[in-house]
Amino acid sequence: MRQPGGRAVVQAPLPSATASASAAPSGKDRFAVVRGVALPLVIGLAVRLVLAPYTSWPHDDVVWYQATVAGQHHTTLYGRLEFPNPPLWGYLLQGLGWLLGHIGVTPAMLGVADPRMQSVDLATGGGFSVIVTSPLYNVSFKAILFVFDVATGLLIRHLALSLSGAPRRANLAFAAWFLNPFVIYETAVHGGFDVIVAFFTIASVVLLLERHNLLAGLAVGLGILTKVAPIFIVPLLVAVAAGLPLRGGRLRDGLDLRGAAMFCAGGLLSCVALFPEVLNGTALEMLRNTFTRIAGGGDVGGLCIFGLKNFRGMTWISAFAISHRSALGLYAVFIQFVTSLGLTLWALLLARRNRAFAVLAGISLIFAALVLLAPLASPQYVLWFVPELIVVSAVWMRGGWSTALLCAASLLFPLALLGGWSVVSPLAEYTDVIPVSSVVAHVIAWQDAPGALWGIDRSAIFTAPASLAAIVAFVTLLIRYQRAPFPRAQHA
Amino acid sequence: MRDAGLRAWSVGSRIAVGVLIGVLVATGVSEVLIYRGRQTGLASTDLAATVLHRSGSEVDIRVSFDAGPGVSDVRLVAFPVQDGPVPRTVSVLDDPAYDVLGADRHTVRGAFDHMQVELGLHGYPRPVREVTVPALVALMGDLDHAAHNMVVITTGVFPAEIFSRHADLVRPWLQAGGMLVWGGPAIGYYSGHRDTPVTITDPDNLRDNGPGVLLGLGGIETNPVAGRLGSTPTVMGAALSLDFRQTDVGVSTLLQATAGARLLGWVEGQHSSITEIPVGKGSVLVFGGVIFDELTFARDMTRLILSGALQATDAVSTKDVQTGGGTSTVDWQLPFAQTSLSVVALDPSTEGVFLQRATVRT
Repeated sequence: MRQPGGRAVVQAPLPSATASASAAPSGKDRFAVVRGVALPLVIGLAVRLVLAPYTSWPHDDVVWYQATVAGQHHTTLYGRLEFPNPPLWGYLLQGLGWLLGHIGVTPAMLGVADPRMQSVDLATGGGFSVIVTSPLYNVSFKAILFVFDVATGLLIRHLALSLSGAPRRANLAFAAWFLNPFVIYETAVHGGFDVIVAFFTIASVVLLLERHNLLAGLAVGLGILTKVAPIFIVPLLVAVAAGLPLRGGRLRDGLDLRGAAMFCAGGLLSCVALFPEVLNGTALEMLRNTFTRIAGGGDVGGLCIFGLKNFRGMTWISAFAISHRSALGLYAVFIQFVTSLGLTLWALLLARRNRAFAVLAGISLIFAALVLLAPLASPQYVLWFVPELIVVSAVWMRGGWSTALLCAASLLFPLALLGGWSVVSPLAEYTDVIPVSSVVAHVIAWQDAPGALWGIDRSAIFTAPASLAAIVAFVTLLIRYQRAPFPRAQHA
Repeated sequence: MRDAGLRAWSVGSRIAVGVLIGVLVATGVSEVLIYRGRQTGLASTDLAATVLHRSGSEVDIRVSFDAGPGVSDVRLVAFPVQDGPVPRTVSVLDDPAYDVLGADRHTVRGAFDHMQVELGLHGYPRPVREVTVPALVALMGDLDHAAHNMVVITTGVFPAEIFSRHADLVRPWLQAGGMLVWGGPAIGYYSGHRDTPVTITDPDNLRDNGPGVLLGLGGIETNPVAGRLGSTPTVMGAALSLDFRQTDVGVSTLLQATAGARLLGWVEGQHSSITEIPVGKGSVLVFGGVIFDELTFARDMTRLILSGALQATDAVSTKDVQTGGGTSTVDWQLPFAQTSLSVVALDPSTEGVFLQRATVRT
């Protein structure tokens, strides 16, 4: 089969895996891997290490700081109701806190409370924090994220190489991830842990396609214990583990119940990580913290359809959300659930033509739909499925521009939300390069600036088009994936 | 896909499994270390304080405490109290049928959640519970037990059944010894009805007259000055390291002299961020603005309640000490002639959880 570009593409999922990856990699293979990723790896790590110490997204990073300090105090992750996510990332932070504590790093060395920041916190409606995390802490916790950055990049490269058989494309895929400004921003500046979800998702795909079903289930289970969202891709992954869709064979012969059972067992195995909360009697607190946001507070927006509220003339969206706030969150979850099931069926139909493509495209679209249909969607959620988008782009030349558009929108949105000064509070607090008062003044000025052009306020000039771009990217991805270039009879 | 060769361990599988194992080991070790390790000192009554010597207007005491892990700086705080602080049952208003002003419902709910957890962590001996409006009507109607109760309202609006142009359960309850904690727009300004959005034109609103009717005095601004933050901590605010600084609708500092009000938080000009105003046998604790950050509110409340600061009668002494792990013992000379002192040891940092207290009879 030929790609639009006229280049031959290996069709079957992981065919070259049988040739090159099934056996232990030779020394030559290892050298090729190193040579292919070394330069982007070094550049990417250098950029991350330059950005990491003196940047932060205070609204989120203060929560990581609290979890780390709780680790030093041994007050448990949910003991003070601060951690609003499933526990896995929190456990890693608590372990970091314990480790730092035992080498003499006290909570005071992890961050300071600067009362001057309170005016910013008030001006942004609680979108900031008085606590400014220290460079030492920023580097420490972001270093954990960098490990996942690298591991995700290597899995992207592996999948791209296995599916295309083209080392150059695989190396480009690695670079497209590791040097992606959006990815770098999210881990090195923001400190968002969504890259962990991205890793567990792509890891589950690799393991599933290579028939390590138990481990694939374990990976997606750990992903769910990081953020709940991967639970929406479980039906697709279970179906693939079960050998669906059957290709004309009889059910008894084709259905791999053992594969599905192993996948589910792996998922259940990950629940062992919840034992501390159960034994400690804080399981209910964990559930309450994790799911509180579903109840909905009438606050909508972000990189989703509700983000269109920031266009002039679209403020009725906010009014609608407020007047339906008690039901909005639950309705949104219901619609997300139904949509994800629909996309799962779509992917399974597509899998009759190419299983690997269907899994990758299905996961991408399910996650994209989750984000776009959420009442309140943070741009970092896009990180969950960027690896799959990159692999599809690299192997099948599908959705490259849409992926770039989505990444650009996801990068623009947070920078425009509070303005660029909002991420440099550690630089102001811990150096003399810029004064704290400048950060305070600029962020408040950005927040209070009147609207212009099509935006209802200064930030909306950028965030509203970013939301629109995300919607456009999703629709074009759907169209491009639907027109996947496979002969219907192709068995993957 | 079913090819046996695909089951082998490719580079990708090895990377994936390697990281999976690493994460499992890291989280497992973390959990064991954190959940089985010794906690920071939480039980609020574990502080040991004894009188060494008493002479006229001074008293020497010895304080012993074990702050536990993660605490290097401890602040000792001492002040005279009327009696040993009587723990009150804490009832936080959260009724979804009634509108909220300024803050959102998450924040109102969060104020309860965090107060319950923070007080519970320290072994607070009385219940911390959520109440709806009917329960609050019953609670405030029970004047016999007013002195054992604290009501927290962070919705910014009184239910009309509780306080409005046509109802007043609050003032009699305060007179009988109840304590009301208020956060939001000016206290008494708005009154709300069940399943009805609050409006400024509601005839039940007392509006500008509300604070005066409720407290029997002036000195509370009804026109908020958005974003006005306290710039100077009060003595108690600095001692307990309280963080709530909003004075948007702050109480006038002049009430300290004219009405016996106590300034407990921060001050900006003549406006106080946290003010305790005596009303009869009880009091109202006014937070000078909308509660946007329920965590800060809950932590400040926890420190005020557990330290006994709400029963303080006079000046405050503080002493910062470094802990070296294990039990710390500090001898301290205090300039107090009173016979009942509250002695507190706490971690003054924003994230600090260590807080222990003892009442010393001299």
